[in-house]
Amino acid sequence: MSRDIQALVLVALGTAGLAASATGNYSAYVKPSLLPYLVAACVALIVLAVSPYFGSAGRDAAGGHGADDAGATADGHDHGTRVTWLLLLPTLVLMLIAPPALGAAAAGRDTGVLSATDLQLSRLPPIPAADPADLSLLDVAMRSGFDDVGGLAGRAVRVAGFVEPAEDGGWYLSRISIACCAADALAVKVEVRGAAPPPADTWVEVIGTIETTSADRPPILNAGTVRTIPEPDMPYLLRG
Amino acid sequence: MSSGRGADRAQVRPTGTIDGEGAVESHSPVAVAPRDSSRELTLFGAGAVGVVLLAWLFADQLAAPQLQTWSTVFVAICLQAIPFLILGVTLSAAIATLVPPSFFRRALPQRPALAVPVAGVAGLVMPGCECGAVPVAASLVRRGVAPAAAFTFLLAAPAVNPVVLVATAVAFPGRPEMVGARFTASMLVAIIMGWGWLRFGRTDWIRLPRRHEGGDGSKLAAFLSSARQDTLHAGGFLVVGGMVAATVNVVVPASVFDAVAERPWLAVLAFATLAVIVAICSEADAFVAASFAGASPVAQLAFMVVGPCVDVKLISLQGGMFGRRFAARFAPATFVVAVGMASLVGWWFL
Repeated sequence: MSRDIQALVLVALGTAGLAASATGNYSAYVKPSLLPYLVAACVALIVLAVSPYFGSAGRDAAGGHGADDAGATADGHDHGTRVTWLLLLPTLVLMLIAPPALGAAAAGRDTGVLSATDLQLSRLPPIPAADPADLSLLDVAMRSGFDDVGGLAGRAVRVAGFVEPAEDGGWYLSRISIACCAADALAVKVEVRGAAPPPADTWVEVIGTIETTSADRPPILNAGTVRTIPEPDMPYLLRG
Repeated sequence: MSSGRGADRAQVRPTGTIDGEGAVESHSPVAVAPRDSSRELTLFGAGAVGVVLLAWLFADQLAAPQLQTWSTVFVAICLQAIPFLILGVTLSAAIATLVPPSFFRRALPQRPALAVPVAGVAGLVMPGCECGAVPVAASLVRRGVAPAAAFTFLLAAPAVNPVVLVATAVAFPGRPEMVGARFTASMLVAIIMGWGWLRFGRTDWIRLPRRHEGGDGSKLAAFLSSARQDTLHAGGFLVVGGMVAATVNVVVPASVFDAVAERPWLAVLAFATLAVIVAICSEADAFVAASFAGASPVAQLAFMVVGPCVDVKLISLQGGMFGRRFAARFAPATFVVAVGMASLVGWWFL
């Protein structure tokens, strides 16, 4: 792999990362607090890629492709160069497939049942006094394992999430939670009753009351109203 | 060209010389003819156009949900790894080009058996996931540090650094014993593997990739060149790990692990295996372990201890930077020791 190709591969990856950062698409892949490090690292990739062309090192090497090429020796390839081509794959996938944030397809593979300890319940922020109370799906799911639904019994709540169709024709209101990046994703969901399912992956806001069922099933949200909302900038909820 | 490195060789070393450097040809690299480079570029350009055309033709198939999920997870793993990879190659290039070899002679005890625990404690200073630790360890070995100490550092750094320990404390609120158990078990694994290498390891298992001395001799040029080569080399293997992990994520149903969580021994092994194949970075694995509601604390500990020291990303990286013969021996041994230590420490502490 010549040095020009090496430079292209690294620049392509760095640029793809910077583009994802600039457009906000990065939030479909990694947690927001990683953004400054991602940007810095992508800039570093580009700097590393073009550095041999500048300065005296560049001038020296201009006469021939010099001693800088990883594996570009006369007696053939070393294994490292072939694998290096794979560095193109994330760039290609990002640019050509531009995969969206994890949604109903991923949530469907997860039971979405959360169990919370008493300590975790005590550390949740207090339920807002407003009626209906605005809560995140993660909050609601954590409270649902307790007798009085963690204080929510009989109260109206407003939760947002995306539509995940269920096999029996019903649907769940789901969200994906991540700790670091999409690879550690866990779904959290409530089973919605009393409203017809909107199309899969639509983002909606539901007002209703929570009811717990058994420990191995998601809680039930008896829906009052369902309203379509725009997809949030940060599609994932953060655990920890 | 290699004279400086010969002097470095007279360092703390258990047996013989590292074979990898011997594989570097004694003649200077032949300049690649310009015609080959422009031909490569043309092929590259044609390939790029071809791929874009295919993507446009198969746009519908590419939108399939499973492929989209795979792609999202794959891109996520790669993007998340880039900052840590850069950190790792920066450190590794600094070790290779800026830090004088005498520093290691003074900082580490002369006897490898003592250098091993010191290297384990040194792991506390390097934040980040395992992606960065491998290039650093390779650089240490090249710099004449005893391989045993370098491998101990390789295993310790991703597992016991402050970011990971804090994350574990946050993921298991009110249970500091999980943090203590994780720290103890991981440190034991790192040290045992280091001592184990002293006893059983053979340097001819290690095959470091060819390294070309870069640039015009200025420190900056050498530093950048070393960082570049490490990035190109390690990056490719990281991508391999990411591909495997994304595939597992899509293919293996979550219900498998709910089923095994019931039985203790099975659960420990099952979660240890899961830790290997999902390649979750060490800062996040505490949160994932905490979410396995039905699992025993020992099984959760096994997940957290095994993950940072042997997973598909690491195995791929180790194979790429130390050679396949090394990875084929080191990874399984680490897995066994890690499961053992997690079980032992778990039963004792938890």
